[in-house]
Amino acid sequence: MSAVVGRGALPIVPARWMAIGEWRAHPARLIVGILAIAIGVALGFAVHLVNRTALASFDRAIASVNGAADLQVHSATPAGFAEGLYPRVAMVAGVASASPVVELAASTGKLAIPGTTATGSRLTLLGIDVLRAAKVTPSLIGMPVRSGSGIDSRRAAGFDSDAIFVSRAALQSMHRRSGSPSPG
Amino acid sequence: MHAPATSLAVLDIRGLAKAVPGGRRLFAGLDLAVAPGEIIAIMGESGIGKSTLLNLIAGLDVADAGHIAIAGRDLAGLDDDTRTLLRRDHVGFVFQAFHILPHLTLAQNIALPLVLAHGPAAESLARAETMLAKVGLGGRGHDYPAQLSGGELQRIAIARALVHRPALILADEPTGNLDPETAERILALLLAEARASGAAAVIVTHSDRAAAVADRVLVLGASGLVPR
Repeated sequence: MSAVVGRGALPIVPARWMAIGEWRAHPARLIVGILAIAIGVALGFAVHLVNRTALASFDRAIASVNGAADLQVHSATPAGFAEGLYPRVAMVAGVASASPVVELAASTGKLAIPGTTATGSRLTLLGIDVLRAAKVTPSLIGMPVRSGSGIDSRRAAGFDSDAIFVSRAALQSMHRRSGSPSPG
Repeated sequence: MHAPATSLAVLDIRGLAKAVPGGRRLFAGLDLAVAPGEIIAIMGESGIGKSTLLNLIAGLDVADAGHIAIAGRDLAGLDDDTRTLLRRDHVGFVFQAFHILPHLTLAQNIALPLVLAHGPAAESLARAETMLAKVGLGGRGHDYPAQLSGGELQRIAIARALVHRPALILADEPTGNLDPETAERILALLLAEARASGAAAVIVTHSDRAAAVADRVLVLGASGLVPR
């Protein structure tokens, strides 16, 4: 014959008995143990918070150096949004400066169509307001080949009607070098 | 392939073998069948493997070969959790060194097998008080182990081993730490309670007087268990 018992619930009763028994026999030891666990958990959480804060600060510093915008507003369609939206965004409280960007898909040479071989490549064209971009996204302003690399000379180069600025990847895909004539 | 366990036996051991680390063989080909309510005394020299045999039966140790079935269930086919549940429900173990928890009251110590099996606390403590009365310590449920003598502690250990009405009681030299007079009283109590509850018992002992009250006396040697 054996005891018939249920097995669903946790055996909380013996755990409680042992905790109370330990408390009765060694109250100071139990308090020190609980305090040690609490301090250990608090220290671990504090280290986690310090790490998270430091990483967030580092990310903000990197974004600032790279000239990345804090906030971007994108159009929901390829047609872009109405021009009237830009001044409204620029005047929103808390927005220090806003810089518009027009993004278009383009190509150079001939693209592949059935029965032919491609001789060109696809590009993404970015149109920016050079004066505004200098404050918000300076990394988008092109680097002139001949003049200095300061922001003023870069901004002035942006008004050069005889120049376009391309990324290093685009330059390589077109087999061009800095300062060479545009592909037309 | 061993024959299936005898369905009537509460404990059925077939071809059991065990060697200790280092390779010394304690026993091999050991067979034993214990019927419900039967009292078995196991004797033998020190170090021959009597305690190891009890630990194997209780599932506290693993055999090198052979089968042990308790209440018809072969321990070899069970995982640790299931073996623990089988031991909890069907086996009562009386240790030579008592192993009474010092921070629990006597009633809590005795009720432990019941509450570990999720029994209600109030009913478990009431049953523990009944067991305390049976072992001659009635009304002392709120005392702590530190207030008891060795003989009284062994009575608590016996009460704890019997409280959940196990089918099999294993006792490892239950009187080894006691003076002869107390040992005789404790053993008589253990056997009386085992017979009253219909439990089978396997008792490891060095005492001839203890062995004399058993239904069968077996001697453990390298060749297994032989009748004395």
